[in-house]
Amino acid sequence: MNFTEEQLERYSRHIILQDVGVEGQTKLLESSVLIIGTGGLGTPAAQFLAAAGVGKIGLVDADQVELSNLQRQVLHHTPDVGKLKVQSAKEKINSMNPDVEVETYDYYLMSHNIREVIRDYDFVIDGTDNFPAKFLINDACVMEGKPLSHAGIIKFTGQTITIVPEDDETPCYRCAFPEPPKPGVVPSCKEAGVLGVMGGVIGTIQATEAIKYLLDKGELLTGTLLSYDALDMEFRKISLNRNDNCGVCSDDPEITELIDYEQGACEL
Amino acid sequence: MGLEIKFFSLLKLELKESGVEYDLDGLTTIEDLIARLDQDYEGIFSEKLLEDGQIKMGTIILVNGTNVLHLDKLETEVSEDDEVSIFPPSGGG
Repeated sequence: MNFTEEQLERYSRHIILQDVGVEGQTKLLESSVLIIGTGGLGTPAAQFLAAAGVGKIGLVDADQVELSNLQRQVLHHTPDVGKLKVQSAKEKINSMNPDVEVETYDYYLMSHNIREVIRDYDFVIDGTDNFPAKFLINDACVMEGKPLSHAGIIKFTGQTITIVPEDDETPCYRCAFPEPPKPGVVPSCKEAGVLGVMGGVIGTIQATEAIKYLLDKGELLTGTLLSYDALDMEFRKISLNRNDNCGVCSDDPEITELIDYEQGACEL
Repeated sequence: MGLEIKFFSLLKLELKESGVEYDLDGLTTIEDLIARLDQDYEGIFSEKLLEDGQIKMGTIILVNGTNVLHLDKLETEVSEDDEVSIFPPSGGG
């Protein structure tokens, strides 16, 4: 593709970067990333992917902006309270970078519609806040062969792992965590609280993983869960093994239809 | 070297410790390990990890990166130099 003068200027710090360059920036502009959940994890991820010039960004969220979101969900501003989150985020991205096409989905992804939506994207970022969604997204991405960055945050901690279904050597989320916890057993951010910057740290790591995957550069967090503790400022990596009998990613999976798990009352 | 046990996420926050190292000293299974941790941490591990004598749904106990649910559950054997990682999942976003 031929860059305009404005694009050469806008992406100049990428273009001079040896492992990105014109070729890498072109790849980013021709790539697409779906971000499911436009909240604490999803907004910082979207912000950096948009700034980086990822050509198409899909935003999924059925919720409206609430005042209590603004402590961490950085694309939503005070006048946006009451607005659909996907609309609020789309406006900021459009203002930030006109090169980015933003597609919005203002409804929940469930077993009947998720595969159709993720099919159109090169990479998926899970920025949701509940386990039923996280298992659904993992399973749908495995079935569609879509690479995925999974993450979770609570209090002063966060964790993230990257799943590349086409890589037969590395695990999916379900390989390590076979079943979601019972509804209500694990506290949500609403119940337990979360430091505002946790989504920023982990969400931007998710964006980094997406960019690395799209550029085919570096080592991804496949087979490695990265755990972050902000209080001790400690990052630890845990190696996770692929489960040959995994319910969804093994050669002979038990799960062939997506499951809508029951959602805890606290998360509704 | 003994058995290295690492605590993550909310468990680490609560215990204010990253982990502990034990000599095997008669400790052969995950069940033994939980009993030993209970002695040192006022019974908190049984309470958090078990339900009706089984591993609570959603609880994650890994031995060298494999969930014990895919091994022999509480009967999973541990040996010298193994690394056991224990953490609750983080579902927020």
